[in-house]
This record gives sequence, C-alpha cells and structure tokens, in this order.
Amino acid sequence: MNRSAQQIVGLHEALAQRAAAEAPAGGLSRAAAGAHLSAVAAAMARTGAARLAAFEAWLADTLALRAPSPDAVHGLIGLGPGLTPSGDDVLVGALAMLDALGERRAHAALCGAIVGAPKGLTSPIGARMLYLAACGRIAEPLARAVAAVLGGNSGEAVATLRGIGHSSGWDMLAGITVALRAAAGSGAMVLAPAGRAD
Amino acid sequence: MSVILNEVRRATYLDSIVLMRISRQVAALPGVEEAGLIIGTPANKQILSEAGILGAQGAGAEPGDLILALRAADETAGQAALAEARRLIEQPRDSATPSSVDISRTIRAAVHTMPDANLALISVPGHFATAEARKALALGLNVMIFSDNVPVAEEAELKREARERGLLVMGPDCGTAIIGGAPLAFANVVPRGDIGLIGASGTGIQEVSCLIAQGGGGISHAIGTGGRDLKAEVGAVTTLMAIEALDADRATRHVVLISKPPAVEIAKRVLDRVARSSKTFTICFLGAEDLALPANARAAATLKAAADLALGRGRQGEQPKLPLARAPRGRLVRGLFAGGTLCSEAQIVFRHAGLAVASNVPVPGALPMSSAAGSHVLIDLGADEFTRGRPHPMIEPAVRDAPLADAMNDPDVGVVLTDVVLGFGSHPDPAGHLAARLASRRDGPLVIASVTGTDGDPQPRHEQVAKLTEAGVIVADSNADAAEIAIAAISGLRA
Repeated sequence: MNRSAQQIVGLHEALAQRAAAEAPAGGLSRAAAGAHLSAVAAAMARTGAARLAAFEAWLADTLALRAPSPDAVHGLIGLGPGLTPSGDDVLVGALAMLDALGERRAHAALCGAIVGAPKGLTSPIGARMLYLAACGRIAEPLARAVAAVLGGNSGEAVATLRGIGHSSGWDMLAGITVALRAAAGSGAMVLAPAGRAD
Repeated sequence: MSVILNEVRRATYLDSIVLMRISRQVAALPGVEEAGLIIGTPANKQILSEAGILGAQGAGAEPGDLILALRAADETAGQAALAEARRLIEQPRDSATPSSVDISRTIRAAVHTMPDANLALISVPGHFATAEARKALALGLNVMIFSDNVPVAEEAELKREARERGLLVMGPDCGTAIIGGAPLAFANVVPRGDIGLIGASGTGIQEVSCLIAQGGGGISHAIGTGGRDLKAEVGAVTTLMAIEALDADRATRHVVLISKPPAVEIAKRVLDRVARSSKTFTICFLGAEDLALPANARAAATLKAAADLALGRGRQGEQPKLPLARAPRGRLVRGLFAGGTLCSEAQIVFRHAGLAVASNVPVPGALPMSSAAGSHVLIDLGADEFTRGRPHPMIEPAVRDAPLADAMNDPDVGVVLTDVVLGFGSHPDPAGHLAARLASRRDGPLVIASVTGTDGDPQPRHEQVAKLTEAGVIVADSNADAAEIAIAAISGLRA
C-alpha cells in the first residue's frame, strides 16, 4: 500500500484544499489553511499555525532519524476548542497516519512524547483520548479514513472524518495532512520497500 | 475604557459547537469587543492572553474548567454580557430538566403551561416560521411572526387559513406590536389610551405611538401587519381584520393606518372597509398623493402629521424650533437612518420642500442611489445590504460608525441627519454610542437627530436626549422635525 512521495504530496494537497474550503472556523484544521476571524480566533490561528509548523518540523527531524525535543509535541496538547482540544485531535490523526504508513520509529517517538508529557496540559477527556491513541487504540472512523487516504481516496477520507464531532474530524485530518507532508518531505516513503506489510 | 472580565466554570463540559455558538452570541452583545469561551488548558490560556482578554480568574483555571473571557466597552456592558453568557451556558441543562416551567420547547407545551394564552410570537429562521405559525393557529392562537424570509405565497396562504379560523397573523417580518398594553418585540412603553394603530412598518408604529405619548395621548392596541400585507398577492388580509378588530374594540376611538402606498385595488378595498366603520381614521400611506378618502378619514403625509391628526391637533402641530447654528460648510444633507420608515418619512419632507433627494429605499419621486451625485442622500442602514450577517443598527449602533465617519469627513456634507430608536429590543444606550463617536470632532457638519422613544422606555428618552445634546447634536421633537431643521440649515446657507 505504500505510495510514492509525489502521490502523497498530491493526496495531502487534495486534503488540505478540502479542509480550507469546508472545515469549521475555530479548530486548527482551518488554522493550517490560514483562515481567521476575531482576536481570539486570530490568536488561535497564529499560534495554531506556528505550532503545527513546529510539530511538522519535529516529525521531519524524527523521520530523519534525529531525536528532537518533545516540546513541539507538547505545544499542541490542550490547544484549541472542543471537549478534546483541537491540538489533541491533530496528534491523534498524526499517530494514526504514521502507524498506517508503517513509520514505526516516528510513531513510537510520538507515543513517547505524548505519554511523557507533563500532567495537566489538556482536559481529562483529551488526555484519555491521547493515551488510548498512543496505545494504538483509535476511533473506527479515523482508522477507516486513514485507510481511504492510503487507498488514494481523499473524498472518502473527508466524508468519514467530517462526521466526528464538530471540528474534531477536521483537526484529525490536519494531523493526517501534516504527517503525510513530513513523510513525503523526508523521502522516507520513496526509500520504503514496496509492498511492505503493515 | 475597556474592561476585561473572566469567569471560570468548574468542570463544565459542553460540546464545542455549543461553545462556539455561545461565544459568537456573547461577542455580538452590545458593548462586547472580544469574547472567548474555551476550556482552561495552559495552551488555551496563552491564546486568551495573546488576544488580550485573560484576567486573573481565567489564569487560575484548570484544564477541565471552562473559561469565559471577554473585553467590553465598560463594566456595565461587560457584566450584562457575563450574565447573558451564564444564562446561555445553563440553558441547555435547564431545558433538559423538568423543573424549569418557564422554558417550553414547543408551542403545545407552552399552551399547556399557560392555557389562557391567545397569542404566539414566532421568531425562528424564516424557513421554519410558516410551520410554527400553523402549529400556533391550530392551537387557536393569534400569531405574530417576527421572522423574515418567509415566501410571500406562504404568507398569503397562512393569512387566509388564519382568517378562516378567525385568528390574526401579524407579519411575517413584523417587528412591532402593542397588544392590550403589552409591547411585543421592538416597541416602546407608551400609556394606554383610545388611539389604535395598524402598521405595516415597525419604526412607523414606534414613531407614531411615541409622538402620541409625547402629545398626551395613549394607545389601545398597535397591530403590526408585516410589510407585504397591502401587496396584491396578500390582499390586505391582516389589515382588514385589524380594522375589524379595532372597529369592534370599545376602548378604541380613533384608528391610524400606516403603510407604504398600496396597490390601487388594495387601497380601494381597505378604504371601503374604513368607510363602513363607526370610528374616525387617519390614513398615512407614506409617499401617496391625492388619496380619495371616505368622510370619516383624513390623510397624513408624514408620521408626525398622523400623530397630530390622531391627537386632534389638525395639521397645526408645533413648528420645529430653528437650529441655533447654520450649516458651517457643505450644502448637502446626508441622512443615516436605523428606522426604514423614518428614512421614508424624511424623504417625503424633502420632496415636499421641493428638494431632490436620493435613497437606497427611494419613496415615489425620490432618486435611486445610482443618480445620487450632487443631491441629498438619505440612507436606510437597516436595509439588507447593511445587515447581511450583521445585527440591525437598532440593536448594534456601530453599524452606523463607518458611514457616519464618511459623512463627517465629506466636505460636501453640511448636515448629518440621523435617528435614535429606543424601546425594548433596541441597544441599551444608542445615544451614548453616537455621542462617543461625535465627541472628538472639532468642526464638520451639523448633526441633527430625532429620538423615537418615551421616558418609560428601558433607555429613558430624556437621558438619551441629554447625551446627544451634550455632544453638540441638535435634537428635534420628531423625525419629521429633524428633516425640516436640516432643510432650514441648508437653506440658510444658500440664502
């Protein structure tokens, strides 16, 4: 199921375009697309975009076999609106995508950063969701969406994710998108032997 | 000076869509400059801090808490917004518990709670208004539909159905009514009396009822019909039923009918019914010329004239006091109105004075905005092009800020003519807002305003007038007078 870097960049662009056009304002999925509203929304968009970029750089470093500080991961935990803050949803989306891509090392590094995070960064519900995701347990629609992404069907992925919460699904999509872009940029996908089973 | 207010709700879990909706509602409240409603994680506290609305209380919140943070123009507005936010946050829980008897989720449940109710006020998105109105009619209730965006065919159907049941449909897009002394939606606190009003326009009813109150009279009932009742498609169903009702009402001595000029055949149908009434009538079809009226009716060209006739003052109402100053520069009047009918009335005053006037809502004889160059311009800021996605200027006077600044800086403008509409539903301090915008000006156009309201209103009229006067605004006794004074100021310049 592995895809070339170019195919992954194409997929990521398709997903990002959908998010830019359709995601609700307020979550980080929109922040990634650069939209903003009031001063709170503007601060959220600014901080969200910066922290998403820092997280993407962290992923790229990790994929390049470096060991960056977990601060970039911690910066997303508890950020944004929702019962599960948007930043938590982003991390869960990224975890699911890395797992599906077979990026074992990066997945393990992200799990480690999440589990090792200081207490009290997020809501009890967000903390529980992150812990379960780090244990490999994710919501079924997210698993289906990730499979659809790998199958090249961005439309189906979006249709599946948009049903999760108000903005949570879109934020998970942002995490998926960031993971795809980092993986494509690192060249890891091209190096991966074709047909490697997950 | 802005104030920052924070409140922390311990372990409050609400769905994010609910939180977003509430924070938008709070942000739209009068005087609120910025608002955020978000769980109190360290990352979110940093966001609120960046947005400049994190206070000490919010800074102490835990990740499982909900922070309500806002910045408001002043303490009063901020506390009012906090109170409203509390209500909104608790609302979904309250309505889920049977202990709350005040909130009914359906019209049927409301009737069950209040079996002697005979009127339902419906304010839902227009798409759903007809269905809700039918439910109310089926339960034997008269209906006031505040909602707009109801197709005219549905309005006609609904009104005919109601007529068969002997029930009244006020609206759709009915902003004002006073029934049995109870003000509904945008209405003022006026004494009860023997004058009945029937109006297709909200601000028309407000201005006439307030002028009657100022003149020592009172209102029996004010029945809103909705702006399209006198259109051929609807056939004046509500207007005719309202005449019937006031005709039969012993407390009503005189009836004032306020509308835009109706289609000829509709006007005839209405005036034929007026002719059969035992009461006397004042007919104020704003912009109509040469009405053939029955013996028991007299025509009023303006809202002010309608109030004067209803008070038995003939057409001799007090002449407006002349302004203390002449327009210092510019020869044009720029009118910026919150009340659509007040804008129409002002245009009529200009037309009667023989002046060319343009408007985005032109009355017969006025020019459209496309040919506004070089003429006086009177703008209805409540028209769709200004209110799409924004509150109406009666609720949010800031809608007027940008056009006001434009007018104040335009060297061709000698007079800014404006209105302040008080009463239930309106902004808590519209004059204060306007005065603050004008406080820093040094020269520029004269500002002339009318204040539609009474001292019984939530914003007492004399206080609002005092704020304007202090800010150097010339305050007229009525909207028509304000227009007359504006014309006098300009004419003085010409002479």
